[in-house]
Amino acid sequence: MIKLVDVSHHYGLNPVLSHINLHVPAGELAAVMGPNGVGKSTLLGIIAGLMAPARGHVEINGLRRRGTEETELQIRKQMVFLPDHPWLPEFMTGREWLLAVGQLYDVDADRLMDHIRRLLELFQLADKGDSPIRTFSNGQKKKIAICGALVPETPILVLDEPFTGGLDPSAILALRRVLKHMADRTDVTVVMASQIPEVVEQVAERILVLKGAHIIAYDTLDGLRAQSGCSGSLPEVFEKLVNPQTLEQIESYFNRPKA
Amino acid sequence: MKRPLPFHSNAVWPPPWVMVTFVISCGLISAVIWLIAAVARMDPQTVFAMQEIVIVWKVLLGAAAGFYAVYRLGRFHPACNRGYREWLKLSPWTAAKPLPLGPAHLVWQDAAVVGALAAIAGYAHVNPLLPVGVFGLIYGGGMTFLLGLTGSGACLVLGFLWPALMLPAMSGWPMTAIIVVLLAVIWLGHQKSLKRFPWPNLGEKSVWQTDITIGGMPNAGWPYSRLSPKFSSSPVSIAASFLVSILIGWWFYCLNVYLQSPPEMIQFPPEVILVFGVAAALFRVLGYCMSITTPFNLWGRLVTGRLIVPGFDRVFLTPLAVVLLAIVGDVVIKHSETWCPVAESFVFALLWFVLLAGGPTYRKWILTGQHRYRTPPISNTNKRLFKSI
Repeated sequence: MIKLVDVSHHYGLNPVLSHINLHVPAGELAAVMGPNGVGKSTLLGIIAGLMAPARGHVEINGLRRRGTEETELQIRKQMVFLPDHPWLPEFMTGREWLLAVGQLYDVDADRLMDHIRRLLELFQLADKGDSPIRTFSNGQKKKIAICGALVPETPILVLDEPFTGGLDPSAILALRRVLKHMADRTDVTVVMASQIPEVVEQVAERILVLKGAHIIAYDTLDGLRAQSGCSGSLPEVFEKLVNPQTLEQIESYFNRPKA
Repeated sequence: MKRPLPFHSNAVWPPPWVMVTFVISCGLISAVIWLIAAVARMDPQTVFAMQEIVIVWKVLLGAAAGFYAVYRLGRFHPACNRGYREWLKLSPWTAAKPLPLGPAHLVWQDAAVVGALAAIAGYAHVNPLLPVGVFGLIYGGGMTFLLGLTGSGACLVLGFLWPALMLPAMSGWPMTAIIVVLLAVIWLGHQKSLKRFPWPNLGEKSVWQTDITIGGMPNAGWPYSRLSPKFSSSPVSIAASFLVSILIGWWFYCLNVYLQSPPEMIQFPPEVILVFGVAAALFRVLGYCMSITTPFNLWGRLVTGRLIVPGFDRVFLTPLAVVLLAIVGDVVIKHSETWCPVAESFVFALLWFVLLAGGPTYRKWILTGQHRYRTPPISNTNKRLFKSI
């Protein structure tokens, strides 16, 4: 369970998040959507513990984030965060790095090695797994980073734009399946930022829409349809919620009278 | 009835190639001296006493004594040799038996080797105490370090005894007494240390190891190493901080008194404490904030009116206290007159105590502080080793 209580954040003058209250129940897969620069990564960073909010606090399974040393370490054991741009050790092989990440989370060695083998096969990295990461292409680096997030098997995953970064169609399909599988499980909670409505529509149980530092909607797709008064696909519902004038602006652009 | 090996301590003799090299070196220098004397038609003893020649002998004898001390510890002390230590763990060896490779404590062969070096020093117009002193300092200092590494409390006693040798009042018999006590503490500490073998946390329990080490696996990349559920750093206890501060203060006092005495006659300016206080405060802030930054910038603080962010600004409390203490200490020292060395040492010790014991601990700060982790390019992570995707 992830809970944000009156969370506000700003880096300088402009508020990025303002009085955010959010509750993601255990076992749910929530997707965060919103226009560029609206604070999605900041929200995920705050949940993941990468930064402390300027106001408010975060609770993970009832434990307050950065409350005490012991609770913080307990929370860290239960959560893994995949940022949009992770930094990978270039000198290690993919398999070595995955082992290092698994060891950070004290995953049983046999289980870890077996899981790494299966992950490398799933993301078509079996041949590349024993090469240094510096020899990987951008898409392969993204794949190995995703494997790194999955390898600790933590009950909470926070994923920032996992579908971007040059993933090939088969990797997108694999990740989509993995996330769908997680969404069906009751013991894994996932919070994911994504700008790809087709993926969100398929895997997310609830969708959070951020705009102007506020949550303007947080509901199932049907709930969002009801809220927006639009019965179309997620992109249409999203546009209706975030920028109701978009469709009219498009029309007006193409129907401009000729000079 | 079992008897100890009669020639066990013979293992400590320097390796033959070292002895041969040393003898050849001495022979060459002597030959050159005799040659110079013959060519210049001078008395060889006059050439031996020449300043340049004496320096050559000093370097050779000092290096030989130093090498022998390092060899004695590096070759025979299990704490210096991981392979030896691991092998000993698996063997039926106990502290009641002699160490298989040879003793690490002083034996008569050491006296013979150092005595021979002293005799050569006498022959070469060099103070015979030079090789004795070099060997004693390196062997004793090394043993003190190794006792600390193996978690022996004897290193703390030695830490207080060593600087006493610098005090002018300790010349003559008091000096001899201190050296005897030093040797006795080293011997007893070493025996006790061997009884505790295998040393469970070699290097982790010495009193000078503070909470600076960062746990986790730094090579797991960003942000895994930053958000790692493993954090091995442990805070320094108040007792450890107190002892370390007293020890540092005592060293400072002895050094101060030594430098103020003839022939050096150097006096620490009181500003030294102030400079140290400011530098230490800066160093602590840098250490604590190396990989992190404030949750929002100064402009954000000004605009929102939140000039103080308690969750972040607590990191500045101890450094501020250290700077204030250094300023007050500076004033006190300037008015202490004849008590100046004592006042300086006291203030110095107090500064260290505040630095070590002042909160928050590094662990508490990293895990509970209201801060933001920097991304690798900003936190100056080695860009050759890590790359963003």
